[in-house]
Amino acid sequence: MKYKFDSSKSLIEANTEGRFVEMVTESQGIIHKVCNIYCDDREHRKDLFQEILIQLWKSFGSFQGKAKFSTWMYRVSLNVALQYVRKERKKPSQTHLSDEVKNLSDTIQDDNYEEDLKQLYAAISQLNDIEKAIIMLYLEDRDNEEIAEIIGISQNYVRVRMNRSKEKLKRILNTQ
Amino acid sequence: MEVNDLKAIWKKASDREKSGYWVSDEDLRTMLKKKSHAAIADVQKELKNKILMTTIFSVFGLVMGCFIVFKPPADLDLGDFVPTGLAYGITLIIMGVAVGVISIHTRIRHRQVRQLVEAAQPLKASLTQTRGIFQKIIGAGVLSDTIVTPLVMILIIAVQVYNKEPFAFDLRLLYLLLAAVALVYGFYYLAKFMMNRKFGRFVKALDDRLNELEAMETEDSEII
Repeated sequence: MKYKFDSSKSLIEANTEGRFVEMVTESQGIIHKVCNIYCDDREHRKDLFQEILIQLWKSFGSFQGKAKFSTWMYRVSLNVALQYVRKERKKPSQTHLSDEVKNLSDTIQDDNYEEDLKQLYAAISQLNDIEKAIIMLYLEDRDNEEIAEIIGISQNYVRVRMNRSKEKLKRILNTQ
Repeated sequence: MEVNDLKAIWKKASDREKSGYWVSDEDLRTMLKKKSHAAIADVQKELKNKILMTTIFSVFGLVMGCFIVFKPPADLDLGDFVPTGLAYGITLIIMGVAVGVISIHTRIRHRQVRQLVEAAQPLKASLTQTRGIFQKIIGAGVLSDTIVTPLVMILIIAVQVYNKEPFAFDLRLLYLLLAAVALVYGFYYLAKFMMNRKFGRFVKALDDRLNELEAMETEDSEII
């Protein structure tokens, strides 16, 4: 990949951006999943996707490689999702993006999508925001240590809360 | 459907997403160039504007006050807009210093918000710190709007009312004090209303999430 910039600072920034985009492209599934869990309509998901991406970029400097990149991504994405309060739009965005972005995370509206998945999302939507985060990380096969690191509570709490959330989810699924 | 089956469904959904809804490098770069609409980005913008405004007011007050107190050069014509007199000069300097203090305070808050945005903290710490900083910003915003705007308005009224006999002890002083009290009260409620309108929903959302976390820990600690 080639960049044309005047100063070495710009070159460093361009390289950092390049590295960031490369890493995020590879792991963007994390953002999609967070958006699907926390938003129930397409426009809302697009907005949240963008907010998460911007926040990941702003805090990219804080990623020092001590934690896994995916752990860091989950942490930032969930932070944004939980602090995200949707505002009324005065006018639609003017930025032109490709069809891929226009169709971004339109998975739930697809009529052919698996019934099971709809059922799963419907059940998860009945959990509170923190339980959603815990269940999502459980479904992602993250261990208690990593979940505790992402949420900032002890592993004991994670273990107890995980069991409670699973019980709650089971009850919801059985009543569906 | 059992809870254990969920992982398989989830995995399938992830694979499907990967094949169908992947955003390209180019689109990610385009999205990075867009502005954030998050409440925290709004507050950063607002703090930046406040820093600019308070710096201008502060420098204006200090410079004009010093000119009046330490006698401007004879050929400098300040016109009718800026009255002369030691009392006005001192008042302007005090106003400049007060607004300068608010400006420095706003800069500190702005730096705190930037550090918070750049740090990728765990969920609980991030929610707690964001709420704390927002409460301080709202409080400081209400306080500064309650003080600065009435102070400037009172100064302008004083210039018009007294002109050459600044702050003489007569009935005009009583009117001025009454106006000051009314302005302070008015701006206090107005600032509070505006702050709640701008950030009230966000602070409430933060409170709700933190309450969920705290309620969980209370329930769970009984089991542990």
